Amino acid sequence: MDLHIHTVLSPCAELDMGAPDIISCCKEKDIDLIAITDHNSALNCEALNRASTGSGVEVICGLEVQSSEDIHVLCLMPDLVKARAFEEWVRKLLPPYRNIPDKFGDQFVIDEDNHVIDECEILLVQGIDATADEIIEKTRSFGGLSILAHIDRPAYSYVAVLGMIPENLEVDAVELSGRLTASEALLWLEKAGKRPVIRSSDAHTLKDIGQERTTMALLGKPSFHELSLALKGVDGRKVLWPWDRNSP
Amino acid sequence: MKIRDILGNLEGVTIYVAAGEDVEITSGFVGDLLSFVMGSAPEKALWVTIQNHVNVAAVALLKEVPLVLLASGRVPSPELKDQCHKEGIALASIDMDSFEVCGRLFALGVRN
Repeated sequence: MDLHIHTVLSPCAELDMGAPDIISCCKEKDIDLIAITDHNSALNCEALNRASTGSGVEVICGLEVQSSEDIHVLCLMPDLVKARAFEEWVRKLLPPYRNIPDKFGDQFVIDEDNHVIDECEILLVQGIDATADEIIEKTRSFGGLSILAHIDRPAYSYVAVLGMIPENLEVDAVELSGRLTASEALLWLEKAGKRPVIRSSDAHTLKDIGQERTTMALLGKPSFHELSLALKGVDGRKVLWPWDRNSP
Repeated sequence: MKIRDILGNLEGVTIYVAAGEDVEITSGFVGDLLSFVMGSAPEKALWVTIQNHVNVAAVALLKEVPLVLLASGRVPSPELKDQCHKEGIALASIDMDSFEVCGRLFALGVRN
């Protein structure tokens, strides 16, 4: 699975991140569970959902929310309806600065065939008026799963900004970036506490997507519900240590 | 300079946790990224930050910070206030921004 993928909605993503393109790329690479996590928005989740029909690739609707302290949290929602409602909460807290496409990149809303149906005018890569801890709590109240994104990175990471992850922080998993080697990744285990550790691509272009930037999980089937059980280690479902298959 | 005198010499201060008022402070540090502060701050220095998360108390404890000054009038989270109280770390907020606070502290003789 790869739970951190951007689309053409994120200004920093390349234009090859279209709906059918992401799905066929994941299919080709044998990745059967993905989460679409654009910055502060879920507007392209429906397109990805539709494009995935019959492909064998299951799409989870999510957002990569940026907190007031500039921490990135992956917020995965049980379904599109919940994702839209959660996005509504995020949008109200987003500062009103407009995107300058020439400087930051385009923010295209697309359909399942990559037709541009809208452009998001507010700049999506901004910190919303809520702390990381508040975002995590809100995600939980929507029945969602929260994952601290790329905690090993020097920027936009919970650990970089806040030094450590409090023991009582009710976050469902932590993410390490795909670029770490197996030995580097081990050094971050302690910081994760007892939480499941996942590895994702944080793909901004199709060539970022690949098995070496995924996580294996034992699930009944690829779905949000099964993922939530795996993150809790229920009934034999679990998330496997991502670096076991790929030594540096 | 004592904590009491430092706070007394600055305007726009709100004290949230009074502690160690007679503790002598000679050096200061400014930073908001806590992992950077953990790695770089000298021990026993006064710390100017806009970060008001509860983890500030943990980093202050680690670095033996006697006084945390929240710049730009930032209000501490209730958890931070409680934790500073528990650990005996002085905690105050000040209306000035970090740049101005540091300038004033430097003029008062707080230097690295």
